[in-house]
Amino acid sequence: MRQRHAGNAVVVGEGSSEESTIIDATSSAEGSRGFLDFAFSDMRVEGKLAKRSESPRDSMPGRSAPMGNFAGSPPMAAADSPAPLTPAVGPPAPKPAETPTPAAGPRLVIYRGDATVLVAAVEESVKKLSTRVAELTGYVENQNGNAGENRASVTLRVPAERFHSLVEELGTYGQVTQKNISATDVTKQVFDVELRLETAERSRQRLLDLLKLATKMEEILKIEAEVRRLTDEIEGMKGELRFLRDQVAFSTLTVNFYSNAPPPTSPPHRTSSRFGWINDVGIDQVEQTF
Amino acid sequence: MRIQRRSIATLVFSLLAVSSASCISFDPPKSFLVTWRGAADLKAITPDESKLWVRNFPDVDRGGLSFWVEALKRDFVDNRGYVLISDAAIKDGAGTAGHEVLVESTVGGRPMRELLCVFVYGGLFEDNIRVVEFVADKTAFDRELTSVRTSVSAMRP
Repeated sequence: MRQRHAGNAVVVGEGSSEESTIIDATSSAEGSRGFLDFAFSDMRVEGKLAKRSESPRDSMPGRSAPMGNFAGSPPMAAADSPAPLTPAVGPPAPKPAETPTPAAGPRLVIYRGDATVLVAAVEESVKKLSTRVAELTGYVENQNGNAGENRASVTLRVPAERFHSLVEELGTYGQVTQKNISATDVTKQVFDVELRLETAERSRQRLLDLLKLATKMEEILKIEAEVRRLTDEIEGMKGELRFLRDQVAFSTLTVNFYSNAPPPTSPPHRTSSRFGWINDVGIDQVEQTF
Repeated sequence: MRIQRRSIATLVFSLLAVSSASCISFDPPKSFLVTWRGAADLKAITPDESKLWVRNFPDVDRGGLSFWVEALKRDFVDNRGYVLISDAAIKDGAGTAGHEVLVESTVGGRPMRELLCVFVYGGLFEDNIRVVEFVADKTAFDRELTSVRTSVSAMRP
């Protein structure tokens, strides 16, 4: 059996994410706190995540069925039964834990890449690439260069489905001398965060329900503090999800252009006057030698 | 005895004449503090560090005013990249013809301006090029420009 912590909950499961059981870690660890003591032990993940959790194994004979509907449970009923510190879930699995994977669905992959391209004209190449990225509904995230050294670096964000075609196009700009592409599968990470988020939101809702029933000031303060903590946690997870989804939706490509040609323009070289006294006058001379 | 007194008076007068001739006859505007007054140059500065520098340069070749003004403008514009804002003929306190050049440049990211006035005074063996330079950042420059021009127009050779 696997057990892992997900925010304020412990996710317990056998092998993959299916059959995951959510246990409120806070209530488990502080099982003797009285009013705050409640548990979601042996409850199933519901909502959109429930679909991901479903597995053919759920319908296998002999498997323990989910105990109850969280949303439908009366708040006090749960509060009346202190949660155990260790999850009290079904029969222990005989086989070792497998790597948990989210249920079937599109893989969530973050593509990143960088390439170095030898071009004839750096500035023109940068302009051309920037225009092309705009056509692909992407954008230039960062750009820097040094005209004197004939180098420029452009960091682009392009829709993930157009990332590979853009990388291939770099060959039309010049000679691609170096190219690195990386792909990071964050499907599981996103799934985990979503799972933790949903659990935290449920916990918070339950606490809010309990808050309505609380009468003692001490209880109210404890519940409110817990609600605040959960709210912060939820916001953090939402931010993490937003970031991951953005990274998945838009791939990042850094293109370094360089040229062997001499710099297009060289700064004017000051030649001194043939007349000595003229070299001694002027703004710079006064500022430096006054 | 009378001859001796006359000799002493002549000597004192000569010394005074020489000493007065050895210093540049230029009175800066009141907002400037004179920090140096020598035989060949004078330095003055304002609290906000607008600088006024009057100098003499010997010219054994006797190039003449128009030659030097032309050489100066070409060097400022072509070699140094200064922006020539204006140039005009001027006169000093003795009525000697001169020329002023007003330029602008950027120093350390700040727009700086300079009024440079040139006079050429003839001498026995060589000419003397008198250069008055007033340099300040643009705001301070505009504030002091009129008073500096007044000082230049009162300058004696």
